[in-house]
Amino acid sequence: MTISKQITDHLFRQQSGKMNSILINQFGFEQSSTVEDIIQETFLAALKHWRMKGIPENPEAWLMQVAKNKLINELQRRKRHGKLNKNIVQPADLNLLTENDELIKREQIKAFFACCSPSISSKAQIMLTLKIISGFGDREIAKGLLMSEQSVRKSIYRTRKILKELGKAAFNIGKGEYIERLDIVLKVLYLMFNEGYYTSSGDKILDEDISFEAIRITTWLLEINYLEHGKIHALLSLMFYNFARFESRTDSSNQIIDIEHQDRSKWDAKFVQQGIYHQRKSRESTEISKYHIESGIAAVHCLSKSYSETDWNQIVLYYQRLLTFDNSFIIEINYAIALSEAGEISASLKLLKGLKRNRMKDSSLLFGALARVYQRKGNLEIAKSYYKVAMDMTLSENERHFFASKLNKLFLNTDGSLN
Amino acid sequence: MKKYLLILFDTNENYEAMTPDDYQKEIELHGKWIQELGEHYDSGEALEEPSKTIRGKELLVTDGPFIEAKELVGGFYVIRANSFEEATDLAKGCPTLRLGGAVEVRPIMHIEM
Repeated sequence: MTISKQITDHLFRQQSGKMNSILINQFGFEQSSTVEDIIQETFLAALKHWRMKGIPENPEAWLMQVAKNKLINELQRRKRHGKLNKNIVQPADLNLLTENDELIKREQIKAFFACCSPSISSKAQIMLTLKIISGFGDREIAKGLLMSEQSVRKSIYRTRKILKELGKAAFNIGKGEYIERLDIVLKVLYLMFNEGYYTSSGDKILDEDISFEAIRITTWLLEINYLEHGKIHALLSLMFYNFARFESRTDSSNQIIDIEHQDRSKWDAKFVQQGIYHQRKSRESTEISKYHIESGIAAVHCLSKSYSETDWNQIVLYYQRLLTFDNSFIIEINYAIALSEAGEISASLKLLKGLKRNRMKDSSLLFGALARVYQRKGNLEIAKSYYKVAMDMTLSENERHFFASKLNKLFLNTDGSLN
Repeated sequence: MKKYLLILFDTNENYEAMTPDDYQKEIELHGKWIQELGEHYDSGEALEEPSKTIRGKELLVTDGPFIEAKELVGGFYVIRANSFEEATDLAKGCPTLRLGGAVEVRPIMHIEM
């Protein structure tokens, strides 16, 4: 034991993900509360022990061994009380807990695909993945997904109930299921990344952790050699290009900075390189996915030296292609902005005015976009009033602040430049 | 320097809502505190539940310690300090206090011969 030894960042979270994955594969969702208790007790034991005596030489192995011992005790206790169904549990399989990382990763991938069951919603898949595979706590999931802790707990409870009913079938995951579920799995990872990237919880580190977790799990998929790697590389490329800009997207008081005003010298070159690498690999794909196109858009932004040098015509073409995959509101909005930046202002306004709003959130985005396009056009009075409406409509404090600062700048600077 | 015993009383319910990351942060705080104690740190042991108390010549065995039910002795540190005041001041830095726990400071009896 060394008193001053440091623990790797998020070791507990990662160990929780490993333990949960292995144990859920072994025991199924019907035992999830026992599994959770064991993990909680293991961490409590570590806290009580390590705080007195310092961190052990191999903290990971310590945690795994303690969890294993606790579980064996629990199983023996149940056996004594006749509660154990022998068909479900073979304690020998608990050796997986102390196996090497490669084997454990395989278990995590399997558990991840189980969490992405087609029987549950995307949101439920994301929550379950964050909890079981990534070791986030309910409180962190609630904060990251802008939900209340109670609704996270309720939702996870309901999800588990559904998966419990599937019984063993929930873990019947072989080659067929891996291939079949790839699109669901990529969508979950894409949405999970965006939860961290676009949804500001007010906790920058937590947001970054959620996005990075999505990247980490996506890279695992490349280890399954019969999956379509092109799409996986495309998603990774998109994630890395965006992740490179993580730092520059908000200021010190956590307010949004749009891409035009981001300090490009803060973009992380090492992640941009990863973006380029995976984009190159994504071209080996047999089919083009929406991730390919989105990564193309992100690449244009990441590789432009300045905002004014951005190749908007290229971006417009990408959006037109993207709309054939996904004509969602948010993509239409972005397409309209790209059109106006490419000089097609009347086309942009026509598009925006024809958009149907389905959610509360849509309104503030639409009015914000209209304000921006009118500002581009030079109609500053109209732009101001649209910013005001956007401010009234938004549900997010951060967004309100963003529109307010745009409006403020318009009052200070009436020459119509977008500064 | 003289030796002092710091007895840690935990309020266990504080741990129930902790996330894995919270546990890690809590351990790191203790690690940092011990590091800051430097030469003042001597040793420490964690205590497990359950606990029994045996009383008098009748050897009457009862469950638990006789303190407020929510608090449990989770472990103890032995530290070195120049005075009882210094030991008390050092104990104030113990991270467990942030969670609403308590620390009892007792000088370890030592008689110079």
